[in-house]
Amino acid sequence: MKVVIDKERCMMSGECCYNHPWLFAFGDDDFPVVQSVEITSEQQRKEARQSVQVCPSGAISVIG
Amino acid sequence: MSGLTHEIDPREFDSPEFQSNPFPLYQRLRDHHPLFRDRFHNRWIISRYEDVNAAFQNNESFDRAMYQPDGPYVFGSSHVFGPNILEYGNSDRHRWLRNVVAGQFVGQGLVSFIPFVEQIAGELVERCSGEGEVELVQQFSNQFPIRVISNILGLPRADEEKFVVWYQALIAGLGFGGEHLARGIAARNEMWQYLEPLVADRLAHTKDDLLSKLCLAELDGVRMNMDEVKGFIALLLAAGGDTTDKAIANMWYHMLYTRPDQFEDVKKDPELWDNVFSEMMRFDPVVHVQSRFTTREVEMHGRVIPERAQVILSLGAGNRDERVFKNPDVFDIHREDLHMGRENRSARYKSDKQGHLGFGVGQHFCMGYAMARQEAVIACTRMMEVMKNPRPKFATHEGITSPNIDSGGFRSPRELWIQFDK
Repeated sequence: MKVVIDKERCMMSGECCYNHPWLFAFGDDDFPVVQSVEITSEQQRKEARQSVQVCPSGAISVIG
Repeated sequence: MSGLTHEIDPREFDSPEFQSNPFPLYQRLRDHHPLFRDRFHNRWIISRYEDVNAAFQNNESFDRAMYQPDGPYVFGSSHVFGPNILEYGNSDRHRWLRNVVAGQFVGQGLVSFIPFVEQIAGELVERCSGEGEVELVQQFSNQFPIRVISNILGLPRADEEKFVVWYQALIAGLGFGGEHLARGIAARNEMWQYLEPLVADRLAHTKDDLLSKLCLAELDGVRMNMDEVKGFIALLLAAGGDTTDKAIANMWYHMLYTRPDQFEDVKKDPELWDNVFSEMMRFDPVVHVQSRFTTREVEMHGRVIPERAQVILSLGAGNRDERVFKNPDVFDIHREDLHMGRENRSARYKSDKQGHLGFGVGQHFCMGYAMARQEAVIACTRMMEVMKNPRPKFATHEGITSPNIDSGGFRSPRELWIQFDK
């Protein structure tokens, strides 16, 4: 499973970084960056899908 | 004048003058005591925009809860609501609980509820538009957000009048002692009894509502227990019912009494209600203070706050900081230095404008911020469609008041009479 962020759509709400800090962090330009972690457990997959739901701008998508 | 005039007597925070107009004292704090040691109330107060904003984002130094050897310090809501998310600090459990409901309030789930918000607003406006005048607080504001949140939870519409009574009793019980507290706890007990069969029902027959989500959410295979579910519902009803009601009243107060000139602009372009909401949240938000506890020594303005100290983040003061906002004491829905759209939990904006601090920032940012804005803007827009030529019934008004700013500083008008053409 892979998580990607569309910077054009992103409104910098910060929801992903605060809700799932193991998966997202603020980058130097204040946009969120996907952390380099393996998404393996069911809980992690669930949280990755949750981050899509909670993003207000619809900038996050999950592949795989 | 001697230097002593800048000294602050902490008892001023308990004075009626401060409660009706805290802004002059906020100015003295910002200018002369950016880190104020309040020995009388045993707390520290920070008041400049940058400091408050930074503290909200500094999870390593500031926590919502203070930890004791046997668990988190009681934040001060569980005796009324039951166990709830406010009691958790910067923990994984807090994050998990928040995520259970976040999709509904923050993300894509919100959109699906907008037609319903429109419908409730329409029903209530209809109900109180017959007489050519309305007392906004009792007849509309107190009725509206509670109906939205109880329906998102999936509670029966036939019982809405009960929820209207309960949420007000819960909130009063939280802010005051004595008989208010007794009434708050009585309301909680009554509500818990009411909820029990509904929770049992959702455990047996899942529905597509928030109540079912709360009942069934699992962290590592473990669900919340019955008390935790009921405590969460009590919190959502109280928090979802309150503050947005007061925000609507504050918006109307400022249009009718502070800026009737700009109200003319809003009448011509109702989309400006979004700006009214933003500027109200900056100029005089419903909540003025948030409390934190230091998890380690924090150095600030040449002094050191010790570990485990209470720190008041005065967002009401930060919002009026002239270091950030030009002419901060002017209510201006067209101001160019304030981000006017939906708030960001990160306090970062693509436009490089500054956001208000009215919802807090960061980890404990108001959960219902997007819902609150939607509800407030839809309600005000709907009122203007039906209540033509709205105007104040009385030429003067006592203003926005706070019965007890120390307990969280919920500020709003006690009542607000509006006349209109039928």
